[in-house]
Amino acid sequence: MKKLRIAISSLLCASLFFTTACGASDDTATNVSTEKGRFVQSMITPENAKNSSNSNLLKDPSGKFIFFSGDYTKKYESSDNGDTWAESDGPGAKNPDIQNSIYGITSDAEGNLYGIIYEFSEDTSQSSSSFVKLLEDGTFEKISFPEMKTYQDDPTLTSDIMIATILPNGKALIYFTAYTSFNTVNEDSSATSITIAETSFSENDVEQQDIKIIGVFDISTGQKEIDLSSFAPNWDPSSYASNKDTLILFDSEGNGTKINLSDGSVAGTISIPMSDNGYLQGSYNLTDDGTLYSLDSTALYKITDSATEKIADSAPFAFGAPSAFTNNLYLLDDQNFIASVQSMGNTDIYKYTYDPNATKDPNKVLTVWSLNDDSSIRSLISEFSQTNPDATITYTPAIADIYSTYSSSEQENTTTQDDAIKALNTELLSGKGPDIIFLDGLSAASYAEKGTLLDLTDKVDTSKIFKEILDASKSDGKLYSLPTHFSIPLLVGEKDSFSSVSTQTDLAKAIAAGKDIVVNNNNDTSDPFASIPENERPVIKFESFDELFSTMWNTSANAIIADNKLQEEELRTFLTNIKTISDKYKLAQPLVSGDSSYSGGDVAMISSTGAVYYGSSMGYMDQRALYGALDYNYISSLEMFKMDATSEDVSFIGFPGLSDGVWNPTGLLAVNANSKKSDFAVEFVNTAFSLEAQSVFNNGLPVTQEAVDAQIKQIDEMYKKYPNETSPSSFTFDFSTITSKIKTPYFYDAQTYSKVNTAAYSFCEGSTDLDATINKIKEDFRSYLAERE
Amino acid sequence: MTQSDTSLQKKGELSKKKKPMKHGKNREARAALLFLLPSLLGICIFFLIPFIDTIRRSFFDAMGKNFVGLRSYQSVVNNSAFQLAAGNTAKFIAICLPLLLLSSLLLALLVRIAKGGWRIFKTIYLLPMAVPVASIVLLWKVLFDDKGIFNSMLVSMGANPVSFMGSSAAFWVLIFTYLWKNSGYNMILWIAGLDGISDSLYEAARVDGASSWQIFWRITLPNLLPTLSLVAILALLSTFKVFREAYLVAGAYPDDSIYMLQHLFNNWFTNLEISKLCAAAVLLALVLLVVIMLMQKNLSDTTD
Repeated sequence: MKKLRIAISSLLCASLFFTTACGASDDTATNVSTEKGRFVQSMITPENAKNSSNSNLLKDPSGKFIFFSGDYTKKYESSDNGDTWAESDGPGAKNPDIQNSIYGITSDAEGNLYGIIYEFSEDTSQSSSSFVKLLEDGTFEKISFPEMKTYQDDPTLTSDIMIATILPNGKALIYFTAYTSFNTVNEDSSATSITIAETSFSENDVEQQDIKIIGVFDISTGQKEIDLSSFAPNWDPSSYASNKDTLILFDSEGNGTKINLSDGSVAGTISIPMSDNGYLQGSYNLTDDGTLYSLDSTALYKITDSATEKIADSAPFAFGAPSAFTNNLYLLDDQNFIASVQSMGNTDIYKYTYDPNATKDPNKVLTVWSLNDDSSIRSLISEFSQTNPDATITYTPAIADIYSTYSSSEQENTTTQDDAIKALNTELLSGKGPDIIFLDGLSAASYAEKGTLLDLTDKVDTSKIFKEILDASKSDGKLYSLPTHFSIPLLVGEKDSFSSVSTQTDLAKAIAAGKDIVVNNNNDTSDPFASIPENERPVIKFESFDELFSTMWNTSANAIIADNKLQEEELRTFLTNIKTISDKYKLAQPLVSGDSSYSGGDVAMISSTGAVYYGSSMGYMDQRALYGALDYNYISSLEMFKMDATSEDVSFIGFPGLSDGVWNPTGLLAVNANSKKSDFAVEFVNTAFSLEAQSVFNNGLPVTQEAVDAQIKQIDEMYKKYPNETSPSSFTFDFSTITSKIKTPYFYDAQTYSKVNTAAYSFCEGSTDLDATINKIKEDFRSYLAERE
Repeated sequence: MTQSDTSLQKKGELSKKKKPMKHGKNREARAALLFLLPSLLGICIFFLIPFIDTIRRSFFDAMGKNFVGLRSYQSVVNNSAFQLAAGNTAKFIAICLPLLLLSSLLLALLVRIAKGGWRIFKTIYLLPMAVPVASIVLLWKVLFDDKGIFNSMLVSMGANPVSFMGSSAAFWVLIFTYLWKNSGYNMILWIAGLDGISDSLYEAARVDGASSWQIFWRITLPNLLPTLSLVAILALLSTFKVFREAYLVAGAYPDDSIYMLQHLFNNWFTNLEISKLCAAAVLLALVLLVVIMLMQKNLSDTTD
């Protein structure tokens, strides 16, 4: 019996040891390569050319690098591979007319510069472009290509030289298009004889021509030497590579066709790895021995006929940021290269030097976790890796949705949100887990309360972060997580017009008393987005019940569910208001063409700054409503309202909800309390609030004043650089008008949102009365709230 | 030689004779232990040690660092979500268990008396077990959705549609699904029990002129009691598996009528309420232990 007891005890001990041993592999979870050798990145952009846009990096036949400022007023030349630059006046300084109309500068073997000039004719309202040779005095002379001239001279056609570049053999690769503008063509006018890659079709009484001419041309005679028009249907026009003997044209799937430049014959095929997002976004370099180098946001590849070798992974480098794409790639030798990288409108030049002795520091290893793949996180990792090149950062989004840019086949649709959270919880509870956690989609308060997060108070440098955001992020005086960016719901309208809509109830009453939504596809005009007189505009133009509910719920949820209780009075007010608005605009009724709310589908407006407007904000922009609801997440959005709504009196208030000062923190950054690299993780967090990192986040407002100032300055410079009649000559914005509104953070909760949404819709469509709806919501929330007691 | 000497001598002989027997028993015990070892190891790793850790965590905070005593137990017992879930689970078991035992026994008897081609039903009744949960969930949605087949039929007959999954009707849908899925398996267990009853007993009863009902009541049922113990315990444990269907159809927060303990446990884990979760798990384990022990005791008493 005693032996039996001993045996059972031993068994228990052994199994305990076994389970402990199974879990004791924390430090080995992330394998750090100890192999020596890696690329070292150094920025070599000329000091005065930093933060310039649309610049092109050239390398002339002598090996000299040439770079221009964004407006081509400055020219920078380097004979030592970018270590030093000599500055001189560029063609734009001598000829201001070309500052904003020239692009795609290229050089020939003698160092002459060529480019594409864009011209717009006021008389014919047609635009055209020409390939020109830039002269020393700033003037230019057009290169004439007889084959294209017919179309360029045709007033019914809009012509465009999409690609014009001097190949290493001195010839020009040209991609020319010409197409019919939307002008009615006289039926008698027969189509011009078109022999090259022509398609022609009739649409009503408009005969449309779509001409594409692709070929290698002799620039001295303008004659085509190699016809490449057969590549028109598949060629991705920005994807090509060439040496003196061969030109490679890539289709949109990365398949390249080698063309012998001596006779135009096809010399073979070659394929390049596609970048993660499925698009060709790289730069290519074909060496004299036929080796192809491809650089994109994934990696630098060396491709020969027999093999494809990954030379450098993109993650630690500037070209690895999601917002970045490479303009040019130049090889210095086998192991060093120079690339110009464009990101967020700025172009910078980087030199990549291979250091055979450089290694990764095993102490600088971080794992980063987020529920969904997030380009901001990738940008941050790229930024952090550039300042910590010896660090190894592993980022594994828990769910890679099918629309994600970075989804991989292994992850697609295999993990649900619930599974992902449970997996994270399991790791955290066993004292492991990722070092950095992005809490978007999780209950940040719950994770902090349970002690899973590191208290960042006094650890992170918060001096640059807006005080309002910092205060709102604290819990019991401690800082467990910080948003890297944010948005804020606003009601936009004419200045001094907000007194009658300052509360949610007032807004609902104003809407009820206001005009109905005017049908987009009305019969009065062919323009469905034409403005309507101010006295006929509805108060606000919600496109759907979902837009209405989302806007109102986000600004009321914190008041309706407060202190872990459902606040019945607040809920009653909310439902009454939402029904008032929904009834007015018939938003909970089945949509049929001709209904007042029918929009004809999802329509969005993209402004010149890239800001996207849809729903009610677009209704305001179109001058088809008195107010617009705007989830303000882009600094120049409000200025765009001023420009596009053609009103200088645009102002805003926080969107009237039942909660005061609602804002949406995003990119919530936290550190695992059990992280063994917590100091290094804190460094990572600090990087998120650097000017560089804050500037690359493109899906929210910055949380630091210096980043806000930088963005305002950038917009101001853009206005000054591209003045026109509709945009102001400068841009200033008092951001404190935004930060002063920050009080209550709203975190989206799918459970509460969907439960109230379903019940509210039933109420608005008339299936249930108010009391029954409230009782239904109370029932639905019973277990949800009780679990949190 | 006295009588006592004789008795001592006998004892000595007996003890000499017993030694090899004891040695043999030890060998048997060791052999048994050896055979049990893999299973015991698995139980230790996957059940016993985690359960010990669960008990430990129920007395500590979420991260298992600070001792909180019985606070979690107090919180769980007073938690209205726990009360709702425990009540629903108990109600579900109380209704399902007898229904399942009866329906599966009935099926077993019918299949057993079936002859020839009718025995195909033995296989047919097992088919629901082979249907993957995901398919069952899809079927649920098609049948019981607000705009599903049943509601379409109701509407076509002029009746008002019923929100099967958004009302207390969901509870009965869940019971139906449980019975449909598990009757076949329990039927097989009952058939095994029925096969274990000697035919001679039935023959003797028939010779004595017993009716079919008397045979069932006096012979079949008493002899099935050991099987009943097994079937009841397995059925009890399988009631907890119905959560998969409920969760996949109605999510983490279904209608209150089908909000089970597993929903609560699942949600508490997602919300990192580990102390409460562990305390509730320990309480549930204790209740189940008591129920199973009582069932076994009662059934063994009845069998004796």
